[in-house]
Amino acid sequence: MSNKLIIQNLECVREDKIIFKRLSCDIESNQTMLIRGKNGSGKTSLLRTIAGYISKYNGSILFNDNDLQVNTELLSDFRFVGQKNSLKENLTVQQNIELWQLIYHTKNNVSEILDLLDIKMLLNKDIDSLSDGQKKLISLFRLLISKAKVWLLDEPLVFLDTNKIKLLENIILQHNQSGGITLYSSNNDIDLKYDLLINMDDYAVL
Amino acid sequence: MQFYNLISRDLKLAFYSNTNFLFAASFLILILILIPFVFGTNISEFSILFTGFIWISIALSILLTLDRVFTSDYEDGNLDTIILTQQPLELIVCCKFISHWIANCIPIIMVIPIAGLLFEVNMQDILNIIINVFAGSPGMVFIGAAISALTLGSKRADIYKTIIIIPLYIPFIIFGANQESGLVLLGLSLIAFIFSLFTSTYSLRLYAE
Repeated sequence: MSNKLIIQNLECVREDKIIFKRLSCDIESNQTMLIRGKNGSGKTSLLRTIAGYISKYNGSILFNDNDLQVNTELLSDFRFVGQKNSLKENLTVQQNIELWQLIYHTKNNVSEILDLLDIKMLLNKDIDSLSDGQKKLISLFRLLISKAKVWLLDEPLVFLDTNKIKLLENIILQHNQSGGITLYSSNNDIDLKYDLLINMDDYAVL
Repeated sequence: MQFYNLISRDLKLAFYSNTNFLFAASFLILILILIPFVFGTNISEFSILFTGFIWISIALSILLTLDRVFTSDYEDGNLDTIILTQQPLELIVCCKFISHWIANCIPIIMVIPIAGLLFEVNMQDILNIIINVFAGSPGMVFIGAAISALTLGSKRADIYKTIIIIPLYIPFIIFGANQESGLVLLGLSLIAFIFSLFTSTYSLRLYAE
């Protein structure tokens, strides 16, 4: 199945200040887009706009030829993993996963995903006792918990070591091959493989 | 089905962070334990004070647990995750209201008879108080949740929240102290529900921007 995300002439305004303008791009199935840019250039704003959190914008975002501002129900096929990990610090990993399953309304067997991310041995540990990298890895669990078409990753590489970055690259590759689209923002020197590059500095209004 | 899932998610969260269910009830008992130290041991006065202190401790325990409705989910990013599932915001807000009421006020209601026995309040009065609390406490939860939704994302909101919420609780406490006003309290709760549903939904819609 093929999907297509088209952004046309997007202009994002927050608190009466234009963050970026005239941003257009097309992303198709099996493509990964890297969003680069200086701090404060609007990488997170762009991802949050696509995810529908910021609903006031000019221009249009089309997913499979449907305007996302009108057909908001299509956004349930999107997964946003932001800089916040969505983890409850005082609970164990297992308990956090159970809470996510209820949010995503899924009862899928998670053991495969646990093997894939290699976090099985952390299952009964409290989140506070984990390192930042391990928390980040567990927060990526949400991507795999149920099938989604578009993945929006905000700085997913922060705190991850080279092995885990490689692992994430493979996971994204698998997702893309089954018709998915991935957008991620990063400022690191090491990058995941990407097909398209967008540099927010070209669109940012300072 | 999604409605049920969201409520059970919140209840599960309350159950796992094991202080939650016990907190409100133990808070009530602890406040009541303080009364004899303040007023001495003249038994006849206790039952008069009882109703008042029940309502004050309900108000305080709701205030102290308000962070768990929206704020903690907002801070760790879970609110983003919940909103992106594209359930109607009204539904999400309703689930939050109901689960918070179950997690905080049901334990209080269950403890009232036991606390009443300690203070030699007669059974009829205890029953009336329970009916009143049952009718009034949802409204207090709704108002508290709405105000905390309005202050989402502002760093020093805690003190403002208290200042805004306490005056709004006055009607509940006035009618709560009167034993035959269960229906009035129910009415107040329903009004609070409408007001809170719209304000909470509106502020959740705004908070991302």
